[in-house]
Amino acid sequence: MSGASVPLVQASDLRKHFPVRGGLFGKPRGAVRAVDGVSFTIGRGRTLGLVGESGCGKSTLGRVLLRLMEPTAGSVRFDGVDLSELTAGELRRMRRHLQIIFQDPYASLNPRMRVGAIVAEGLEIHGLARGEEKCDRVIEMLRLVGLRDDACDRYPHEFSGGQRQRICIARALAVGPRFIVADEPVSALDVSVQAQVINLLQDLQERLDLAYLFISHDLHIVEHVSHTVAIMYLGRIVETAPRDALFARARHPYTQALLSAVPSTAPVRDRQRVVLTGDVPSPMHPPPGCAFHPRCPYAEERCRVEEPPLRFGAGEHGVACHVFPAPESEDGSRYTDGEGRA
Amino acid sequence: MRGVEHAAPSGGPAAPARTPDTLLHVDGLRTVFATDAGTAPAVDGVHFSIARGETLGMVGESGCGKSVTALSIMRLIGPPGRIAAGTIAFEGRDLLALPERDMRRVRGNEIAMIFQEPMTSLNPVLTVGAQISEAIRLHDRLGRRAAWQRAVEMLRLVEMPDAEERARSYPHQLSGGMRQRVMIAMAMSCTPRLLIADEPTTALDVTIQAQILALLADLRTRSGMATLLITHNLGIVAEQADHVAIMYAGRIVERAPVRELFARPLHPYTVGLLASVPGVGGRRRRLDAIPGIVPDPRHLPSGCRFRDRCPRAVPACADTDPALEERRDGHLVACIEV
Repeated sequence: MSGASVPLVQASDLRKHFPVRGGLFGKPRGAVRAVDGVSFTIGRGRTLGLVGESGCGKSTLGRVLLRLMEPTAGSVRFDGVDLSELTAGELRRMRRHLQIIFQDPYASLNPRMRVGAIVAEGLEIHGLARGEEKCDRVIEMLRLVGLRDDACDRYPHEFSGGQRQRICIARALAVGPRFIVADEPVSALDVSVQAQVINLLQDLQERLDLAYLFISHDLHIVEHVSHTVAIMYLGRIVETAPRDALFARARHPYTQALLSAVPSTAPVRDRQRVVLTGDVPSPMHPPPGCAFHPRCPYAEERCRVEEPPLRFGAGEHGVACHVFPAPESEDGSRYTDGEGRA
Repeated sequence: MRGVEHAAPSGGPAAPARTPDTLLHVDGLRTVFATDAGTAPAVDGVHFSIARGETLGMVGESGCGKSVTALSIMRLIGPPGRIAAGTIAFEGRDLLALPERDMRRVRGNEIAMIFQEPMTSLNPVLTVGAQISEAIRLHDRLGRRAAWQRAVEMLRLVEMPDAEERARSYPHQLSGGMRQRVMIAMAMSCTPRLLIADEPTTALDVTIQAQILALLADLRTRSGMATLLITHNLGIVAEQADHVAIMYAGRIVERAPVRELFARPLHPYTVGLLASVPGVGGRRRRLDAIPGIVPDPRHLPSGCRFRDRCPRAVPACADTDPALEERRDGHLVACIEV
């Protein structure tokens, strides 16, 4: 990611607050801070894996990033261009470079449109191809994602879940994007089919130099696809690191709990499991101090009052925690047993 | 249950011997659904048994028949579906031969079930306390107040925070994890001997999933109930089950004790499933996906149903419908090539 030029995607202090109205005159009563000060970069051809539980703001972040929602504050630069400074027309022209794939391949395809028309729609909107050329491009895309040519004339309901997700991917790719937000792209699919779609996304990344923001709650999948991983909790990134560092030397207690909560087929049955108590708190009334402190087994006094900033240590490893700060050396093996507490 | 041909007990190795310890014994179960395009056998000749206190993990992808198997045990298959053949013996009684009135007593009292989406299984206009007490009063002669007290106790049993207060909550006021706790409380309220848990944590976040799985494991050890745990998640099975049955296209293709199955998976489908999950077996550049998709139950391939996706298929696979046979101690496989 440390290329000489600017990173492809650069998010700086992004915020998205949703006002909550109530009472007789619908006065704002407060705000849900779905995304609350998030910064990261994604390089060309790289994947940032974004992990978090439901309601942590990861999908909102994906939408704000593409300006499908207006951010409350902060900026997104794509290839050096600040998206918030673009006019509506300029933004529309920019959109062909920024595409999104959704979780539910059943809900994100128009049931009344034939697959050919679905994939061609973007080409028409952006005036990229017409007539014969458009048809050729649609066929090319369908082949690229492993569907047969005759898919063109069929309707989405005639396809299985995995095939529909391939249609969604073909639609996103048709306009020649450079960056794709993949929001839980395989969560709705069966295990054997998940692997097909993940392999496809990785092959396409290699061939087309695509950058992904890969949003998922499945740590195994994120570990498999990502170059860098960011862990989100209640609207903030609590830990981020290159993949290997994150999975080998997770520092934040929330990351550690997430990693230990994933059921594993590895024969070790008696590994130490951190079972968190309680639910994710409401983002409308986040706890004071560190938002994770009510569920954190290591919470100290200052965690209840002072919010820990995301601080970076060695090896681009950033942690937002008072008790387990980012490692000072890249050889952080001694940190994994919790001995390295500050 | 008219229309059920009671299959003669198929004494072969596929049908595990019934021992005094056997709680549930399913033999030759076949459940079919009538569709415009013909009859679809969702479950097609399934044999297994569950011993008292045992947890059987049933794994398979959507449409493989695992949920239909569960609903068949509860006799909750309605038209256009019907149970076409087989026996389901619970405590020695054939559930398929019971009059509906007796079956109603079995449901809830002796066999309870929890589902994937607790929100759709709960009544949105009744408090959860009222719903649990209703379940209790259906099976026990208890007064309103006593049933409510029992409901609160059940909520405490499932570690619901502020149980007394939560009993007065409506389902929408609870989080997904708490709703699943309510479902478990309801299921446990009549101390069932068998709990059928159909994807109980699929709709939940991983940290909440870990809580619910820990709770279920704890309840199992405390109450000694047996569990049929249906899931698509191999990790959950590895951690929770004693035995595993792998289902594919309406059949059990492999059955083994849990450690044996993960140490020595034999059926090519099981091997493929394990290889297609990332994070299992070390980090790889590419996942070994199983090509193709699950076959349409109305147009099953001849012979072995997995053969057109199978890397080890040989011409003979098209001619032989492989039976589930014991290959090692307690390890059964339906494949002619292993």
